[in-house]
Amino acid sequence: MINGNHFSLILLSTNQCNAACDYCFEDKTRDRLSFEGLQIIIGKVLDHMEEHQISALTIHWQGGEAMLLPPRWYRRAFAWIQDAAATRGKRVEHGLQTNMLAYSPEWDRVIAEMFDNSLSTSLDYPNLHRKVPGRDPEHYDALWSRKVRMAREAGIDVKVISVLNQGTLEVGAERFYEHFVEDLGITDFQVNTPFPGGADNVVKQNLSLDVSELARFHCELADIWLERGHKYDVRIGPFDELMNYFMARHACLPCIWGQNCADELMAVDARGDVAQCDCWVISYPDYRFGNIFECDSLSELLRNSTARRRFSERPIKLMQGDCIKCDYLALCHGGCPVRTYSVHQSLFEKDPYCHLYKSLFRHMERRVARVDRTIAEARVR
Amino acid sequence: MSTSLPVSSIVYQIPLAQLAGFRGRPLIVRSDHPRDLVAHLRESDLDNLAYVQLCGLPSDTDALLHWAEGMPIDLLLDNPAQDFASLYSFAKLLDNHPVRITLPVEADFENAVKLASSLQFAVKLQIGQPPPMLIELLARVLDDYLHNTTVTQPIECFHSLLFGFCNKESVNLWAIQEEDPALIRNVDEQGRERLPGRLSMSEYGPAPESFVTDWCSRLSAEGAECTDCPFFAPCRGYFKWPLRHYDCAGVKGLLTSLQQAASELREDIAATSPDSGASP
Repeated sequence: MINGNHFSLILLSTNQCNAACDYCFEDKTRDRLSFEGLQIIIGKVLDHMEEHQISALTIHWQGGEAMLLPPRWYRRAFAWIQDAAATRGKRVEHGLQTNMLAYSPEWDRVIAEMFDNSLSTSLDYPNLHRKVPGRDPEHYDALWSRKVRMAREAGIDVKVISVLNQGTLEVGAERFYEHFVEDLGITDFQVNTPFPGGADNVVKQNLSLDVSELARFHCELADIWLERGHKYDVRIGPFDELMNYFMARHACLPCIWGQNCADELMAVDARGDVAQCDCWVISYPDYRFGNIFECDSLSELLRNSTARRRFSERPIKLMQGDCIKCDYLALCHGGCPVRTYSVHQSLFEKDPYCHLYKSLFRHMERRVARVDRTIAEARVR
Repeated sequence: MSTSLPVSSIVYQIPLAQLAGFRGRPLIVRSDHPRDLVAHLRESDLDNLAYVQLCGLPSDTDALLHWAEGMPIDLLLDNPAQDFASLYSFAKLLDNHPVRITLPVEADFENAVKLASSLQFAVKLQIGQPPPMLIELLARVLDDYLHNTTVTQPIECFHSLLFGFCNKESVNLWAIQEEDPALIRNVDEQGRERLPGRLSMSEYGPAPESFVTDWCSRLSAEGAECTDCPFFAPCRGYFKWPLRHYDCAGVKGLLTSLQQAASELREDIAATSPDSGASP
């Protein structure tokens, strides 16, 4: 929240990356965040939190590739941020998103202390697009698997985000599940849909998937998870949270289905540019809210940003279309702005994966209804 | 948001400008300006406050975000067909307050109910005497309330009626709708006491607290449709006001659906209770 009880900040400690993934939505630069720059950013974030009586901050550290800054930089950052926040009576938590290519045991201490011995990384299956510069996807897979194995041997909880591609649809949900859960032993992962964000290239031009096929894949994967993984604590997003939702339990749905991104999070990159999220901050200059190093007050920057206003207005404008008639409006609110923009070049359309989302919502709702009939009863108890 | 007003004393629904004259009594305070509510309501006022009511869709409600956290807020959506999408701007209030959207049942009101429910607001329908064309829409809203898993917040008056039917408790539609003069009075901008809701233009009379009882007696004495109506106990002639010849067929259909749902719910609860011996 930008002005509620909790502030979510996506912080790109560097805009640089050690990978060269064909479909990356970031148009990378070589900029890295200096420690002094970090102090300015966090100082202004804490000022904003004080002004809006926000008590808690979560910093989602990303890049570029976040591990291109050394572990000692993060240890120093962690100590300083915790002190600065405590002085002002604020709580801070940290999350790390990394490709893990630069991981070594030197990271273990800071991962334990700063990130609660947990991190999130990414791998696709089959891997078609993730590469180290000059090498092929197989090399990337081997390197990534080795690093993940090392981290897990060190006791680190490794979560994985997987972006689906045409190859995934061809191997099918069964093989996909086996690869992650049985071959790699990953028990907490999330499936994401691709979008052609950032500078155009041939891969991005061919990134779109048949949405009906994608919907079928999602529903099949959800069924496999429900039958084989769910009761053994395997977590697959977004199925796990959709199950919580339809069982009337607290659910933390992915940001693509948030009521209004503009109220929920923002990103700052290594140059101090501020935007809606990491998908926007480097690659879409026209949609930046401003620069945190150049402003006197983050609150003012957010209040006066015409770009941010467009994000705030998006769900309101979508209500003029057919979203208002959708059975699952409460779950989706028109979907993800960047997935929309990268396809339609407009914020004011609904998410191009609408059909997938509706199919998945309906499928999960029916599956949950089979095992739980207590939702209506809970209303009057 | 609780829809049951305290029964021990009358709650006064006042404009903020009349606060000084009503301090110490149970209150609902209304204003177009959130900042004015924050500025004028003292800490000591909060104990007597049932809720605050926001009128005129104020553009900036940030002042209320961290003010009197937990204090219920009622947001009046006078023109639901036109203004419903603006509900997105008020959703952040839900972080720290129960928030209810009160809206009239009129053409295209259902989009407002849909969005309000989707944003997790409670809803109160100013149901009045709905014409047949709106009964069909109300039936759809009721069906969503009863069966749509994405509707998780109360929609009044359905919610209190369902609760009452299910638990076999006495309910009073005038009270649910906050229109029973025995429980609530309206105060106008000039400080004059009025009857609440749809009764506000009626004669105040010498015993406003007995209005509902008197109205029921009159309907019974006249042998109105109500005499044989199975829903007279919860309704108490609510749907016969102000037009006494209003055809209740449509609303009886809604009430029948609610009663059936309540019976099914009661059976389901009994079947899954630990004493039933049935598997969950």
